Amino acid sequence: MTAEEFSGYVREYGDMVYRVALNACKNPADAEDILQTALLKLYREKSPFESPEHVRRWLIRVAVNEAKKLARSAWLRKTLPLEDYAATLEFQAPEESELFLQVMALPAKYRTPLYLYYYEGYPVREVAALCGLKESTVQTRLQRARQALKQALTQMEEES
Amino acid sequence: MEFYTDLYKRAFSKVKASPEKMQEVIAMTENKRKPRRTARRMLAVAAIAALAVLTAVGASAAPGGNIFTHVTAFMGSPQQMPETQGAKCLIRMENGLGEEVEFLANRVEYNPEANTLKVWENTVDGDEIWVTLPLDESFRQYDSFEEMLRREGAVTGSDPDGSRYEITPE
Repeated sequence: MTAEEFSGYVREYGDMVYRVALNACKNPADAEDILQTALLKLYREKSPFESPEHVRRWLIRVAVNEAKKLARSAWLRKTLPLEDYAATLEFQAPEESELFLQVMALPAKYRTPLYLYYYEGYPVREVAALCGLKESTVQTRLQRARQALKQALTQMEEES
Repeated sequence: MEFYTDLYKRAFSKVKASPEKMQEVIAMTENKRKPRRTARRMLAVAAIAALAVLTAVGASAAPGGNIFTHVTAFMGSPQQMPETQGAKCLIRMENGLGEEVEFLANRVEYNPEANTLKVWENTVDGDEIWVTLPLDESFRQYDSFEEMLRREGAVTGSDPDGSRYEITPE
């Protein structure tokens, strides 16, 4: 892979890898580490890629696996409150910030399938393959995530 | 069930990696040869130091006569490090004077209950020996040498002859 190709992939997929990592680990510092690891692995990968979409899927799988590895590690990092991180994001409406915080409050196993399905637009079959899960498991997790999110956001609306 | 798809996309479109991190990654690939040279230098030192430290731990004294008290950081990788003859782990210990030394090991086993690290190492005869080392309360664990070097920043230590060295991540 040439330096120019690599720089192009970093610009094209860097934010996506970061979002996958943040959804998986909920820690911006760890997400940046995963981003760096995934991109360096891409740079060192010897096998040729068939297409940009192949690179995209490959990066998602690496990010998901690196997040799993981090979760298994005994290495624990101090985490900043997510509200502080959310305050640094340039949300244009309060409901964007609320939804972000409610999604991040969901159990970890729901967040990555939710992101790949609703943001990246992968079908359930692809989400299952990318996360190493059964299709039925992904469907169940998406359903439960939707329910939990709707309940939380409805409750917030009622309280306000 | 209807989902907040548009709102979800708008919210998460604001989540982006920092441009500084992107540039840092690109810069790392532009200078990728340099870290390997520093890694080889450090691992060569570590290989020499391995048995000396284990022997020293067994005798409660490190090269130079200082007692090594605890492991401050270790790297245990499932992959063999390319610069070594099969070693997969790198251990960093500190003595009572705050000085540190790194050494290689074949494998390590972390015991969270006892807060100890069991370390396997080859002797000059080719036999494998092990020793159990106490871990510092705030020890750091890494999955790769690159990650260890990156997170530890400049790594300093002592060669078996007592001379000091410093390895920087770039």
